[in-house]
Amino acid sequence: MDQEKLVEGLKNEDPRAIQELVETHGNRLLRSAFLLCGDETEAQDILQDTFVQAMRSGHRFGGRSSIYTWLHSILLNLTRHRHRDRRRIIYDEELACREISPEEELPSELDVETASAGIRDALRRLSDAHREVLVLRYYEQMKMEEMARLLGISRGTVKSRLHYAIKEMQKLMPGELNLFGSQGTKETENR
Amino acid sequence: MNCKSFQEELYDYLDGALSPARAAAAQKHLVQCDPCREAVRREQQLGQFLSFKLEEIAKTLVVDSELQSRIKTALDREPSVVPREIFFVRLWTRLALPLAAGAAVLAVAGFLVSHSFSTRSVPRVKAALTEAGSHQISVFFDLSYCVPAYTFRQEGGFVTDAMTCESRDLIGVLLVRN
Repeated sequence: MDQEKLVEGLKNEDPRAIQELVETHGNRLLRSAFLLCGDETEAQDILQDTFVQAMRSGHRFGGRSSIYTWLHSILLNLTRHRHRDRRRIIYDEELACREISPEEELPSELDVETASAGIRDALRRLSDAHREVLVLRYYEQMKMEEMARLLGISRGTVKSRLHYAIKEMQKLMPGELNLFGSQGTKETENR
Repeated sequence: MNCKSFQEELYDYLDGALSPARAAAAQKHLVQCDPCREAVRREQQLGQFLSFKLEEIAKTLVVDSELQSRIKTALDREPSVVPREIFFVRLWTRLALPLAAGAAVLAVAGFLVSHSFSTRSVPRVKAALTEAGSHQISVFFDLSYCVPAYTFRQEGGFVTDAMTCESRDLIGVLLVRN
């Protein structure tokens, strides 16, 4: 099914079109969800919800971006909603005088055996905003302009977030990431 | 371009998002600035490292048959989500042009029929006798008539139409000699 027919199928809720989207983009979206939320089961739930949401709002797809970018924006929103809900739950529990350690506030365990433990842990410890920009930039290979549009923030804010996210990663993974030095030249750092 | 402005535009430089003039200035600066060249190299290596690591973390995850089946079940459970208004918009989009064309034909036909019986379309003839001695009659006529125009165009799912009437005058002199 070519892109045009796929879009038409999506708008008409054609199950074959959705099925094709699952086959074409499912793996990539699942991995992105996993990197954003840090949990395989939750990533599967997010992926499922992404396709359900895509079917619900397929008639609104304007074709201004690629289908993948559109699906990814749905996925990112769903991930954000889940994290917001989770924070609310933690907050409610705090009200009930439950003591929560910083470790417990992080997303649940990552259980991909072959993954690099250092970067996994570092990703888990980043704030949602910092994790988002890192995943979009270095996994989704998005340009600054695309990231700004997707996140609904200015390019300057994206650059700033990315800068601090990398700084944070360098603190969390001093052995590996500091091989690349700090951001900026000595001249700019001295200014 | 100096180091500070280059650093501010580093990501745009790497994205190829600078204007041709800024890209040329950045290139010129890089040729003569070792620290900025080093900053570009570091960012590229860092990007490659992080991309590789993120790919590595997530590469084992796949949409297996179980997850596919879950998604399919979830989609099947979804009621038809095309809202009623969307259905009518789609129906309207399909029928709008034929309906508009039909309406146009009817409107023009109606307009012409009604005006063919109208006194407004009858030429107003003014005659005057001039040079009576030479038996020459000049007939001045002033014919007013309307040219109907029906236009319609599609804008997204909507069709807008307009009926206009352009008034025209035809003035002339008819000379009759005996």
